[in-house]
Amino acid sequence: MVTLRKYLLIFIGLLGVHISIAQDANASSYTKFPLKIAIGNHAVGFPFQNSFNAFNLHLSLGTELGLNKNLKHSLFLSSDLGYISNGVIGSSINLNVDFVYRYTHKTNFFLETALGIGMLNQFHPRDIYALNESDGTYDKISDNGTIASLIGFKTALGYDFSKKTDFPFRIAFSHHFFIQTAYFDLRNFPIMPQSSSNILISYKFKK
Amino acid sequence: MKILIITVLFLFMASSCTDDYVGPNIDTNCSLSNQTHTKSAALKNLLDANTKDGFVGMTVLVDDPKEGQWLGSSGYASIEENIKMNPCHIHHTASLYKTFIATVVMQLVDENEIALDDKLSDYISLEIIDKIPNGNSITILDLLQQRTGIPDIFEVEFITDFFNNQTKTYSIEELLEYVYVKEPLSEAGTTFQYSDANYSLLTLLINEIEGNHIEALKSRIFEPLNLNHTYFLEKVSEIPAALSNSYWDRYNDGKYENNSDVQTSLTVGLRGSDGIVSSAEDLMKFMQALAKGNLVNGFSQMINCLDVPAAIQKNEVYSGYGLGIMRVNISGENWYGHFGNHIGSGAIMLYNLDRDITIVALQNTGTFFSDEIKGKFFFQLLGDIEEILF
Repeated sequence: MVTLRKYLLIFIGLLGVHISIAQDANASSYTKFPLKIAIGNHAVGFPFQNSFNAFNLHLSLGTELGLNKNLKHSLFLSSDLGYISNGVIGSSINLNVDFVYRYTHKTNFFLETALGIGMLNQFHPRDIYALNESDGTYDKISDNGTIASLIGFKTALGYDFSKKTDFPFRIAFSHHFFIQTAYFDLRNFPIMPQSSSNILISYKFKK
Repeated sequence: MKILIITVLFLFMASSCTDDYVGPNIDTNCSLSNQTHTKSAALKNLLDANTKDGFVGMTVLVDDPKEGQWLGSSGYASIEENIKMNPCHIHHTASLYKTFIATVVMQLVDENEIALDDKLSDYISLEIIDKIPNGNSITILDLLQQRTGIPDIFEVEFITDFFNNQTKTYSIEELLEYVYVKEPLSEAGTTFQYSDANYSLLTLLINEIEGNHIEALKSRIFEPLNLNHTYFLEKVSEIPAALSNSYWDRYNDGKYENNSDVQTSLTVGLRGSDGIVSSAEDLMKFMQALAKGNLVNGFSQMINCLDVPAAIQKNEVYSGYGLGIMRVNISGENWYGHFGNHIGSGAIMLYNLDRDITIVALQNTGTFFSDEIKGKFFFQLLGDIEEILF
């Protein structure tokens, strides 16, 4: 839990940094980088499999950088820091970078697809013990997590309020499928397929 | 926005709370004195070496009419409660269940209730048969020999479900749903393919004939042999106090977590594939009674093992499979019995027909997801015991 609190502090710190940067920006009436918050459910499985069979909180905080100025066909680089609470496979902190394509229809509905990579630090879901070789007893030890890499894709379907009103807000349902490698045994179980289904909001702060 | 952030942080903190399982384990104050074997010291050293090299706790029994008996333990039954493993602790036996079920089936054959070449469809409802791969052509012998072509239950679909709800308990029919309408891997009666579905179907067969497989196991095996430390776990809430905790080295890095709740749920909940917990002494009694013809007439038929594919021989150690019986040959000796491979335990029960020697090894560290622990237990430990004995 100590390590998780450390990550929580980093999470809050990044949020504060983002907000302060956002409020100082002066290129237009709104900041260049939107704040993206996703909240949803995490599951083990392939896309849309087991998505809501159990409650495993997923949270993420991120932003995106536009790569073109086409309002209909937009390309972005997106980055987010996430937290997954999972009492079965272990909770984790993850950092993802995605290349995003967004199609926005004239009705202001949009569809996104993204490919990305990332890393996560995963913690045991329970207390852990290690053998003390000097006396043959077991000691409870702290869990600093286990690092693994991710590769995945995201899809999202949402509505962009900023196209019709002066409110720089988007909301979407997103599904993120990713493969964690390795989990516990590279030979028998080289990947752990996972997904998260989220409500995603994106907001640009005023200068 | 502030409300959203506060809500998010609250959910984060709430979701970080976990309950760590502490087992119901008691110190059994075991006072057995089965240490007559001439190689007792070497066997004890072997156990101690293993519990310093990947196994939390272990019990081994060697029964040799010429050299004597040795029953000993090492390591821990409960790390949290500092309880040392002793020979009276009870263990999860996982797939040793298959030998028990095969024994009941062979008793039914002895009683002319069924015949080995009967079709399964003669006994099981068509509603199930029609959904089982090769369902209409498989025989009871195919099921016992695991030559039905039915895929295994414990493949990716089950495992991903398991990692979403690891304490779920399954009925036999729910487990069979994992193989329903799948393509058969081969024609029935041709190729060995280890599949728990085969023994789930045999369990259904026993239910059809005997009414209840649990009662059949008790009345036909546990009670006649006085297996007083052997139980069929029917409910998670009713587990024997002497049941050892279970542990898992999730990342194979020497960090162990207590997964007793998961292991117990699976022992209870993989109905038709699992369910028996027992002690080393009871398993020795069972294996010897079976081998000496006290339970079935056809033990020689049960150990008439057909070779398994080379890849299985290499990865799973056993070289042949009979009727609920594996043939294990590590260094020239043929052993007959079964392995039990699970997420928080491992079990070996073997009998050497030529030398009349029985070996039982039970331990409480998961082998199912770890090739390293699995290899150390099913291959290296057995090889080391053979080296000491012969």
